[in-house]
Amino acid sequence: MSERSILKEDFLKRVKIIVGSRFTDDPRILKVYSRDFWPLLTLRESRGDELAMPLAVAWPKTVEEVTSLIKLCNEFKIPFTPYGGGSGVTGAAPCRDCLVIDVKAMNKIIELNEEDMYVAVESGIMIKKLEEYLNSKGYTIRHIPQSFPEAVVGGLIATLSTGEYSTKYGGIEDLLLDIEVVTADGGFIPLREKIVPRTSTGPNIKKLMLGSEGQLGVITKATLKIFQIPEYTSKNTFVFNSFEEALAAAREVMLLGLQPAVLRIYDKDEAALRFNEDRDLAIFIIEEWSKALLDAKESELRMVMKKRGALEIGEEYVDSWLKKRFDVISDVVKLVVPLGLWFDTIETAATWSILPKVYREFKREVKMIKGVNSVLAHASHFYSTGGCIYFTIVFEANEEVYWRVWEKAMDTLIKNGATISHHHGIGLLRKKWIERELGESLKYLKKIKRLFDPNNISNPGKFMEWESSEA
Amino acid sequence: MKLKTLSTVKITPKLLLNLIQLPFKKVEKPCIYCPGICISVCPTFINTGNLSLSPLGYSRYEDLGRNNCLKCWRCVSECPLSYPLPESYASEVKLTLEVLKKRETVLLSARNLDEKYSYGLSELLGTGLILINGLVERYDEGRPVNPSSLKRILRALKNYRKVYTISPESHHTLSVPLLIENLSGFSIRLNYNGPIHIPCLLLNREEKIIQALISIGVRPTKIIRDQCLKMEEPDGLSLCPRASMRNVKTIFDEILASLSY
Repeated sequence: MSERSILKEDFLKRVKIIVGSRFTDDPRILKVYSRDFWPLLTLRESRGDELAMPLAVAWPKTVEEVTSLIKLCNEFKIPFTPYGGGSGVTGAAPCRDCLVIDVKAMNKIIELNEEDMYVAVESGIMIKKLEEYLNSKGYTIRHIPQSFPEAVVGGLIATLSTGEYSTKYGGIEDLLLDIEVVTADGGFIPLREKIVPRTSTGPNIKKLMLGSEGQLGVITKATLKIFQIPEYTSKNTFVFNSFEEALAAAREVMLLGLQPAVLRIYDKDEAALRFNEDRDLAIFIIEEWSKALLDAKESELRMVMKKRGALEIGEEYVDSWLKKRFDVISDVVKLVVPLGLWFDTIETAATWSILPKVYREFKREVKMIKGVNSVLAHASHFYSTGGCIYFTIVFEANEEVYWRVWEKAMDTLIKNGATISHHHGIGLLRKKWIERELGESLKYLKKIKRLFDPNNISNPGKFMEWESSEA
Repeated sequence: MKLKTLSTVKITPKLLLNLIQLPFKKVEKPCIYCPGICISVCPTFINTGNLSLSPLGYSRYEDLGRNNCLKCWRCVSECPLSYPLPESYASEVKLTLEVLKKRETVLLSARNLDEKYSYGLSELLGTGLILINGLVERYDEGRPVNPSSLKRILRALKNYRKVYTISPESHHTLSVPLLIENLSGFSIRLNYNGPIHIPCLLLNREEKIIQALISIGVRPTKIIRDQCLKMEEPDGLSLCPRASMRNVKTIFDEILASLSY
């Protein structure tokens, strides 16, 4: 037996001592953990290709077990990766030969504080289960991404996620009040004894975990804002002459402070697929805790829409979206796969002044690629400064076309001043382009990674990994 | 595919050929294309946090599914495609029917599932009795029902004026009305005050069941819907005959007691 094999065997024995029966190196189970929901990995798996298998999976139940596991990994110089819902779309979680630290056995609700309006949870709790619990008490976290049925809180923080209601309630960074983490070197940063609404006590090191994608350690607990469930809701749809017109209307809506809970603008191509509608349209959900505020916002919204020449057509498409919004597979299984096609989604954000150009250029450039059959778009997640556009690209099912799409897409976005990712994150997928976006900042992120993870074992091979020449 | 959708797509010769063949193409194993929309309702996943002990694992490895999946069918109701994963682990089972006592109104009993109650209930309620074989294999071994045998059974059941069942399994497979939703027709009154456990296969009928039970005197203090009795003893009064195998009191014990009194 080789030295490496003996080392592995010793390591696994020690893992078993820490977590007991909550451990496996069964190849069938490892295969399930060799993937997340990155479409390229799904394409490869559907073709029978081998994916990057981890070494083993452990399900720690306490922060002490997590700490012991990470210290063990440091001792043996064996890499680890935190794993949540596995619903990420960039290949951030899968890690070859890593110990997978699956956080989902740590899923308790620690404290619901109704006066101070927060909830403290273990990081492995599913966002859906948390929302169900909060709803039963009259509250909501209103963080509802498309991965709502699968995602866990730790993963959402690690990927800097946003939810469909983020225009009103903010992204995960706005909801996060505090965090507990076991750092990659086996250290421990606990939750604050008492959270505060704001503090000016130097840079908040905990915020580095937002978007860290498992490269700085394992998030074990989080404290998040909650809201009362809004009592008053208004749903409506408006049809526009063009996607750009709808964007201009959205800008006016945001600058008026109307802040709808949901605002989604579909270009006619995507409206055709989602609603069997061949016009550019916008769906709105406004929700408030006061009837007077709702009425005022509805009235202002109608005025803006009327001024823009938009046609009001009612709730039907909003209800249709609400019903189908988590269904990511029907079209794939019924159309895309049987037609020999494949798909991916590319989300970006840009300021108002360049958003229309980003939309036009992206569609034009990507549609021209040989092998691409369709480019759909909708805009969602709005800010006073701009918004997010979410493109769905359908193309011939092969990797060559896949990477041609991504090369052109990333190049077009960067050239036009948009970001390479609004909320999906980097993972393995966007690693190639992160330096073009971050510039010098990436160098400092890598220094931080080195500080937290001197042995480079926390989800290695991802975007914060430094080269020895960069030391 | 709708025409409006088609208008958004660049049609190539290769795509056109595939479009023509589309009605004949079917994805056999859809679960690998899914992030796990259903996993939050899977009892084995919720209990462990282990993704392989969920439809994500069961769909990839038949033996994992055969040995670990509870075949509770909760995942199917969450699935946008209603893919019947719980009956994909083994070969077909043929259903057969035995008429044990012929009357216009019959109670349908499922072998190895509810005989403990159905024989006694049939006597006390004065109904006929029909025994179905093969259902337990569907829900314990994950075997799909042979379609011709299912058609035969459904045809045979049309010969009776009224058919009721006490097994969620019979209701699920054969769409036979539940006895617990029709107890008022037998002038049954119950005096139960406490939590009620809704079986996995009857979750979609929860509202109707509870209304029916309230109408015969039951006073539910809590509804328990997140427990699968194949995994744990349910709290509260169970509406599933199988619960008796775990020595858990069921509504059928209550009904038999009230009829005997």
